[in-house]
Amino acid sequence: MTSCAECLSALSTSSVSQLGSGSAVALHCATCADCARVAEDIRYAEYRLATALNEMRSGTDPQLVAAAAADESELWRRKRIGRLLRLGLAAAVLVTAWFAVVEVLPNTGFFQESPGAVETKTYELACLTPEAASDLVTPYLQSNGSAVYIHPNPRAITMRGRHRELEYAISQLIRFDNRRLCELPGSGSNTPESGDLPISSPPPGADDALPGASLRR
Amino acid sequence: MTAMAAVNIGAQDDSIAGALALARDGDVAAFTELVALLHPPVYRWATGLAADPDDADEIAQDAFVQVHRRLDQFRGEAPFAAWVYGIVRRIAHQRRRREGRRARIAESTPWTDALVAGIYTTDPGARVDRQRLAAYVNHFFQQLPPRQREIFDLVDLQGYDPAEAATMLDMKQGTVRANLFKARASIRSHVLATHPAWGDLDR
Repeated sequence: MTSCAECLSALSTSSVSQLGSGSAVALHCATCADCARVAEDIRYAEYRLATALNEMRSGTDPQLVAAAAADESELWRRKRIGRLLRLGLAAAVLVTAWFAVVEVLPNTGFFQESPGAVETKTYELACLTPEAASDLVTPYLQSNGSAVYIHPNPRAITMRGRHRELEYAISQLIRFDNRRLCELPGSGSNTPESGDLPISSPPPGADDALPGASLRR
Repeated sequence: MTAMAAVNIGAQDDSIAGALALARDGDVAAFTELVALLHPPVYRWATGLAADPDDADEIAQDAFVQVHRRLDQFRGEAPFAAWVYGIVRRIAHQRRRREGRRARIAESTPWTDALVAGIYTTDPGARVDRQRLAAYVNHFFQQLPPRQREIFDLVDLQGYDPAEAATMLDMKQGTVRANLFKARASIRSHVLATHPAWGDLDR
C-alpha cells in the first residue's frame, strides 16, 4: 500500500484489530504522519467507546433482579391461569346456555305460548255428527288447555286451542262437513238449518259452551 | 488497543449450563446464580440498544422476567447466549416501538456524558481533544440506524465474531458484514475527514 487514498479506504471499513503492526495500513502509517494520526484517532475513539460501554455497570443488585424477575414471572403465570379459567368458565356457560335453549327448555314448554293465548270457537255442523266432528279435530288440538265440547242440539262443537290449531281444525271441518257430502247416499242426511260455514266466537264464559254440552277431552 | 469481549460469556458456559439445568427444574437459588452470571452481559447488550442507562436497566430487568418465564422453551438448538440476546433485543425493540424512543435516542445525551466522563490523559490539551473525539464518535454511534449500531456494537465494540453476531441476530453473515461496513464507514468518515487528503478522494 503506497498511497494515502488506499490507506484511508482501508481505514474506512476495516476492523481496528486489522490495523495492527505488520498490516499494510500500519506500514503506510509508519511513513505518513497524517494517516498515522487518523488511524490512531480511530483506534482511540473506538477503544474509548468500547471501554466506556463495557465498563458501564448496572446499579441494580443481580439478586434483586432475580427475585423481581421470579416474582413478576409468577404473577404473570397466575394471571394467565386466571385468564384461562375465565375463558373456560365462559365456554362452559355458553355450552350450558346452548344446551338449555336447544335441548331442555323446549321439552318443558318454555317456548310455548302462554295459556292466555288459547281461543275458543264454536262450529255449527252441517251434516257431521258432533262425535264425528270431535274425532276429526281432536288430533289437531294438542296445546295445553285445548278441548272439544260437543252439543247435540243444535249440532255443533266448541273447540279450545291456539289460533293456529283452531284455524287448521276448522279448515278440516269445512272440508268434511260439506253440504254436498251430506246429500250423498249414506252420508247421514243431516240438513243444516244454518249457513255453510258458521264460525263464531263463543260468548264470554264459553268454556262451558252451550247448555247440555259435554266435554270430549 | 482494543477492549473486546469484556462481557463475552463463552468462558462461563459450564457454570451457566449447570445453573440453567437446575433453574429449569424450579431451583430458585440456581436462577439467582444464573442471573448473577448473565446480568453483566445482558446489561451490556441492553446499553447498546437502550436510550439511556435507566432504559438499559429496565430492559435487563424485563429480559430476566422473560428468561424466567421461558426457561422451559429453551431447547438448546442455539447457544444460550444467543437465545438470551434474542430476548433482550426483542424487549428493546418493543420498548422502542411502544415509546417512540428512536427520536429520543437521536436527541439523548446521557450516554455521551457518561462515556466521556471517565476519559483521562496526562496531557490536558490532548485530553480535551480526545474527549471531543470520543464524544463525536459516540454521537455518531448513537445516530446510526438501529441495525447498524447493534452490529457495530456486537462485533467491533464487544468483540463477537461476525458469525456469532449473525447467530445472535438471526441474520445471514453477509447481511451482518454489509451492515458492519456501512456502520464503520459512517462513524469513521468524521474522523477520516480530518485527513488533509480526504477532500481529494473520490468517494
